[in-house]
Amino acid sequence: MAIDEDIIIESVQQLGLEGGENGLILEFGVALTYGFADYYAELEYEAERLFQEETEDELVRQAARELFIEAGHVCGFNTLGGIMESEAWEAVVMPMIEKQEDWIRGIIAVINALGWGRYEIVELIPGEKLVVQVINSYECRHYLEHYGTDAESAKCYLSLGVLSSIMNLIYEGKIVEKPELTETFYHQLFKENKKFVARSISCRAKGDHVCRIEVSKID
Amino acid sequence: MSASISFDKERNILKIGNQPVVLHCHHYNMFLQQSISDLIGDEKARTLQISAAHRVISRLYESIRVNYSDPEQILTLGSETFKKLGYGIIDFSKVSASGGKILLPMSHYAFNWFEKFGPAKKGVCLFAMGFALATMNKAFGTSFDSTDIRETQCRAMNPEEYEYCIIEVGKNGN
Ligand SMILES: [Zn+2]
Repeated sequence: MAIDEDIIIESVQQLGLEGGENGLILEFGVALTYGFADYYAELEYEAERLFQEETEDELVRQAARELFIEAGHVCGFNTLGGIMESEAWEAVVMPMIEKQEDWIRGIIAVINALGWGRYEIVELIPGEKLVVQVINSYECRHYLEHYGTDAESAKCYLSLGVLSSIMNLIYEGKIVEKPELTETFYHQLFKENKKFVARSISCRAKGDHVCRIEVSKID
Repeated sequence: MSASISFDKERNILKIGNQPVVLHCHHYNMFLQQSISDLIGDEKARTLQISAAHRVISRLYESIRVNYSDPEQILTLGSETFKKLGYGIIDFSKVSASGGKILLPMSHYAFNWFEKFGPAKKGVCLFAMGFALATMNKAFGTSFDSTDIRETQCRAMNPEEYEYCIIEVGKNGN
């Protein structure tokens, strides 16, 4: 049985994620919120704009962007990692998995239930490379509305961070063995032994018609 | 009473009212909030986050059908929406058109900030402040702005001692 995205999305919805008695959504080993897309995006791009007013140095500016991409690593590691170790994953996705790369197809299907926009796999070479196009990413939608289409660099920070985290979790972190998702493990995977990096191939914020991201192995 | 969350299957977008929402975990929320401070400094970061939250929540209220002549209804809508979206428990029972104290016995940001980073130096419930401000303005037709709001007590600073986060609204927080 191949990965069935419709079933996976429906299953996420059937979890009925909503704040409980204490107003928290505790699921997959994390506390979730329905965050406002334009809130997150405004924070990213306004903070970046204000930061850039302070420096002309392109290297320093890039460091700011890296911070937002790292937020994507943090998100991918904890949320997507937590999901891939959850009972819901075991019950719904595992029966559909035939080979290791199905983990990638499965978690991309889950992403498509989170409200982040539509992620589509364009190319997947197991253990080597992943190319995804992101349609309607909330980051770039906000960017287009507020800043136009002549960004100096790609603006899909979350997608960049999250997609590389998926490859790192599955091929380097051996998520299939359910490692504990600790700070130490995070550092090992994303600071010390990072094997996969993401780069933007095209981005709507730069005037391209779709955001496309390639994750590949560091040589 | 709270607005419902809908899913647009064609575009993979979640919405409450007219506002797109996205599921994120506390690790991301805390990391992003800390990063904004690291980049532009505490003061600018606080203003940005409170005003950005105020903007999205104001737009949310514009899009939800509710009896806007009854402040009670809007305050209830506010606290139930806050809870439904996973931000915690927010209690508007001690406020009036001239302002007052808003209590948060549970705050997603305060609880998880302390869990992740340890004691905070200042209040961390910036999203809740913007949310509260927008709710008060909608309920009472007031125009409090971000200079009228302060978090005078935050559980992220000392959860053993503080039973609530306290947000005060009124001219200069009085
Ligand atoms: Zn607080």
